[in-house]
Amino acid sequence: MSRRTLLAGGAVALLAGCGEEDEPAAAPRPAEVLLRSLAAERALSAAASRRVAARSRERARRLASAVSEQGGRPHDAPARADGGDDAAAARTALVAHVESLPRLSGDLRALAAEMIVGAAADLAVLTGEAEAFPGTPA
Amino acid sequence: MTRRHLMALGAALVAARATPAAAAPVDDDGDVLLRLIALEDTATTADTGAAAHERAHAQAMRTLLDALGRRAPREPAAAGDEPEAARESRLIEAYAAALLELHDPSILRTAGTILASHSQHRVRARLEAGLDPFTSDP
Repeated sequence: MSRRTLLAGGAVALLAGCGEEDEPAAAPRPAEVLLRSLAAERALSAAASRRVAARSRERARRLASAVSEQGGRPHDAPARADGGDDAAAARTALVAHVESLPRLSGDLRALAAEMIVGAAADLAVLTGEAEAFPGTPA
Repeated sequence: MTRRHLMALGAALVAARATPAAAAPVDDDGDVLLRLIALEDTATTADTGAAAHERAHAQAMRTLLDALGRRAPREPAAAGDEPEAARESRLIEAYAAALLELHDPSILRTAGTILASHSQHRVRARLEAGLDPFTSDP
């Protein structure tokens, strides 16, 4: 390994490091990611029948708590008017939870996994079907 | 920044690329996929309505593993006579744990949809057994 190679490698590493610091943060903050899931759960709780709605409200409560802990404002996730297609709302919530996975880590990703389990179960009850890859974005 | 600093940075960069630790996330994902494929392969041997989905899950995981340059053996263990709902609960736990270890966004999303599928299988199995579909479900 020559001194020239080591110097060049160091310069590249330095430039790469500077680039990362200078670039704006492209990834949304965890609170923003959680807000999308929270909005979808609030829509489901407004659309679904009593038992599924209660389960969805409980998930929304946990998501709202996580948003607050991350410095976000749960009220930024709009509450929806009653009614609508409950299965479509459950599918939308499930997609939101799946999409949140790469943007969360640790306890927040574990929370997203629990949201997936719950929303998928609700979708199965509402449609009477199980799917191979539910929650895949359309 | 002195020549000495640049040389040290270059040496560190070269050393990082030369060691297995530099590729750790990819290797970790491959190991997790191998574990999940073994579970799915075993699940395909059970005589249940979910077998076709389990085969699709195993195939999807194999495709993702192939993309990492690795192959999974096809040596499924017999599933035994465990009740389907209990088997699906074990799969749910395995995927929920795996989501905390995975790094690649695409693998994470696919694993998330498979977690959702197993949650739906559990609902179906519970309903077929005359049980509450949501027990112990978030």
